[in-house]
Amino acid sequence: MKNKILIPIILVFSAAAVILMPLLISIFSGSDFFYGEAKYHLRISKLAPMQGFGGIDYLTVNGQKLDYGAYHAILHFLTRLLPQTFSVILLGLITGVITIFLYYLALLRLGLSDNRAIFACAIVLFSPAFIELFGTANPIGIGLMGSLLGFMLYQRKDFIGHFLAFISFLFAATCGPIPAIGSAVLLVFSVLLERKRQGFVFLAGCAFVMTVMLRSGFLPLRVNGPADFPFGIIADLGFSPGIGIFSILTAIVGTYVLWKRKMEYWPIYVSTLILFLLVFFFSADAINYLMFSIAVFSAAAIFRFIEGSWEFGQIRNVLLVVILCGFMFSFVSYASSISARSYDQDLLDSLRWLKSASSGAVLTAPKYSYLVQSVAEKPVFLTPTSNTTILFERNSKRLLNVLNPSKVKYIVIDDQMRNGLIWKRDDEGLLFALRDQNYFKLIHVKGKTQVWALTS
Amino acid sequence: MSLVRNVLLVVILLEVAWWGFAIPPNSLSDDGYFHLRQAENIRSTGFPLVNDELSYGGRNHIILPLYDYFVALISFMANLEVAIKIVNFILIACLIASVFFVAREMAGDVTSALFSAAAFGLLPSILDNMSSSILLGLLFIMILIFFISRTNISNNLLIISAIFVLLLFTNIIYLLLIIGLLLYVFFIKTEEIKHSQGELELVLCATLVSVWFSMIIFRNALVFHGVEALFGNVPEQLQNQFPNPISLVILLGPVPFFLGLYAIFNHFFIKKNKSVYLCISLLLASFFLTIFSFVPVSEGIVISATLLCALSSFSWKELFFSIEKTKLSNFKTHLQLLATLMVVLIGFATLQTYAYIYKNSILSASDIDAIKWMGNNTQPGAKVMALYDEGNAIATLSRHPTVGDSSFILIGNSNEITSDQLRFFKTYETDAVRIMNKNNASLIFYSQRAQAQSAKPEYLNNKECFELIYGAGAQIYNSKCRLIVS
Repeated sequence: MKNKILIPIILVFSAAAVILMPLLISIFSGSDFFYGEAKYHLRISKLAPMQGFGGIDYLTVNGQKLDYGAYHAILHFLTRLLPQTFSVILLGLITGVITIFLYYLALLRLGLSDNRAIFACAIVLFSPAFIELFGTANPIGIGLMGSLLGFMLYQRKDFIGHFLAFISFLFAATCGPIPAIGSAVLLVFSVLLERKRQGFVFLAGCAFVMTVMLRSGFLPLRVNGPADFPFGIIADLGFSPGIGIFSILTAIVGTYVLWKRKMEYWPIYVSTLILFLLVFFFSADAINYLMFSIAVFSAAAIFRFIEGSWEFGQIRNVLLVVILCGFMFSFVSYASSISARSYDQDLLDSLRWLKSASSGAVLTAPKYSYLVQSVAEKPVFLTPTSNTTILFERNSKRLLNVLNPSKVKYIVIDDQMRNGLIWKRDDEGLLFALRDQNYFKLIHVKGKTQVWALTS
Repeated sequence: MSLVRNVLLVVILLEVAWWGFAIPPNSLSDDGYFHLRQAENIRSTGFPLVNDELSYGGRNHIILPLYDYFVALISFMANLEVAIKIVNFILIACLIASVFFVAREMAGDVTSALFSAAAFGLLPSILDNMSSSILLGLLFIMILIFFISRTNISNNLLIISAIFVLLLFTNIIYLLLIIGLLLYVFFIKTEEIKHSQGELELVLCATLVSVWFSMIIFRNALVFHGVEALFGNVPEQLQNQFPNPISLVILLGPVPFFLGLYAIFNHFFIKKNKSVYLCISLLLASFFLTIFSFVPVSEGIVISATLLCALSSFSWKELFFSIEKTKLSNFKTHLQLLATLMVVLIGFATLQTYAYIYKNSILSASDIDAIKWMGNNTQPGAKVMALYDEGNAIATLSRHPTVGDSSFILIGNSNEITSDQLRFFKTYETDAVRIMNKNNASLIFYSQRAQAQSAKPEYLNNKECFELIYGAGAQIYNSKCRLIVS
């Protein structure tokens, strides 16, 4: 009884500690809490839902659709009451704690013992994926919460339960393509596991509404590219989002351990397979969902190590210590890599200077597009999903033929771009073309960051 | 003891003596000079050199230092260059012994094991890996094979663990061992070969420990290069430099190669022997990791050759066993002596030929003199442009910073730097000056090795740009020109 109260309390406090970690690290190490895509989410959450859903992003040259979802709408209302950073953290904290509880309950529903479910929750909690989902501005986390909530609510026998499950699944689908797929998968599992008479009517209803939403253009559809096969999911190799190598290794052992009970745990096997395919063929964003799936296998493997019979007891002890160290190492290593996430000060100063310059779009590395949009408040020519061929064009006339119609007026180049992020040689592509003083003029230099203007 | 065994013992002793005395002390490869410098630093500070101001003009190393500590320890008895030679000698002698013990454990026949050991002592591929930590790593692997292939490993658990931990601090080939062991588990499970549960526990533990160890030691490199970091971030231009099939057979040793392959065929498909599966698994791991450029070709060859030598003991045993069944059984001793003669003649011919090739591939005495002269007579901080595989020798002997060397880990633009070095003596003047300017180099070391590889570039005759400051065999130039882009 004592454990039944203590363990949820520990889970809540652990979740809170993990979720607060990126903020604390950014305060103490001076890193950027809103790094990368988080800048984009923060920017668009300033828009009210009526402007956001299905709206156009005016800070892209060809007016791309905004990826506005339920997350941004909730954040919009929260930021009207609370400071920005606090709103993001509060939303992450609430959704993170609820998600871990729902995950725990879902595992119990799938037939896992109490201990194993708690173990799986602990593995998820201390994983890079959990920090990424709930510790930073990320709409995928709230989508996962919605899907799990729908899964749990569908078990209720009354109409209210079904209605709320319906709402939850649809809510999750508005958070992006990966939450939508996750929601659809959990929806199918709910129907198949519960075997209710009206199950397929429920499924058809959800599918119909989701399709209508999708066709109406209101759902955010943009996703990041797939992960590199096979190492692109390993957080310890510097990939973000990613999964710790020890989670993967123990999950491989766990898959073998649980194989005999595959008919019992088929939803976990099937969801893992679907998520693997999504990660490598659709979008690396699915890695964060995959972590929740493979944590079950990891927990099974660790339980086998603890409970199984061993010829060498010392080896088992060493193994458990190594696994524990491995999990902690992945977690700490990822947390410390967050502390290094910041933009070059010269680049930031140059973009602040660019904010006051006359209007015109900016050509720079896709990695900096969110930063340019939020700091310089200018449209960008290349977004993270764009093709970078233009940056390797050496002929200045051909370059202008592409840039002028898009009203590109500025080119921002920093040291990282020159040293591997884009180019490897100092006379490569655009760097060579910039030597043509008839068309390009250097208008601002700060450290190793240059801002060029197109003269014609 | 039979006559054949006595003869084989004498042959092995002569081989050990050859390795001890036939190789002059200053014939180190670039990797050898790297270890020399590490051992030197260990001697003076007690720690390996991590922040290296000379390599690539300043960089960090990731070191697995056991071999360097070993050299440093021996260097208290002699100077460093002699110490590294003594270490080589000890390692080769120990490797010959380890091949004998592994072969005896597997085949259960002393004469066959002696044949295998004798064949190993004449492997030309050892020459390419002299003064490298790979020999110590290989020795540990052979010891591990010996203990794992014994029927009861529970008595040897402590030794196996200790050797494995030592291997972790020696060379990255511990990953090859892990992949080999995982393949071994796959084979013994699928072929239903009798094994103890302890073996599986050992493999599982070793796998997780090595992954954890790699994550800690190579963390920065893994984040920087990805998985390529584990195998040295070798530039594209230097990958997949496989020898042609005939050279490959010579490097693997013709006799162990064919007899080893026969043993694999015979035991893999016909008989089911646990220790053979262990060797074959390691051989497959070595083969695939070399093919996919995760292991340098020279290291892959020496590992494969060693395993083939051990495996060939089965073929020797079967060969002698089949002789006993024929009418030639009365001449068994004579035939064994003939086989010994054949092994020695073929092995020694290939070894001597390869020793000549090896001697031409390393820095000559004249090159070494030139480097030492450069250290005493040029400005200390001047950066030197040379072939990439002379960088460590220049840093060690002259204390000059170099544009690049054969250690590529944590070097972000290693492809570009190595490409500059590879084409420097083959390009035109403007490009040569551009390369010098770009890499902030002011001295050019044009070794006799470089002279043998390509004709002297025309631009080195332009005295206004390239001033000859040393010209006794190897040449040293001072670069005076700068390229200005308008």
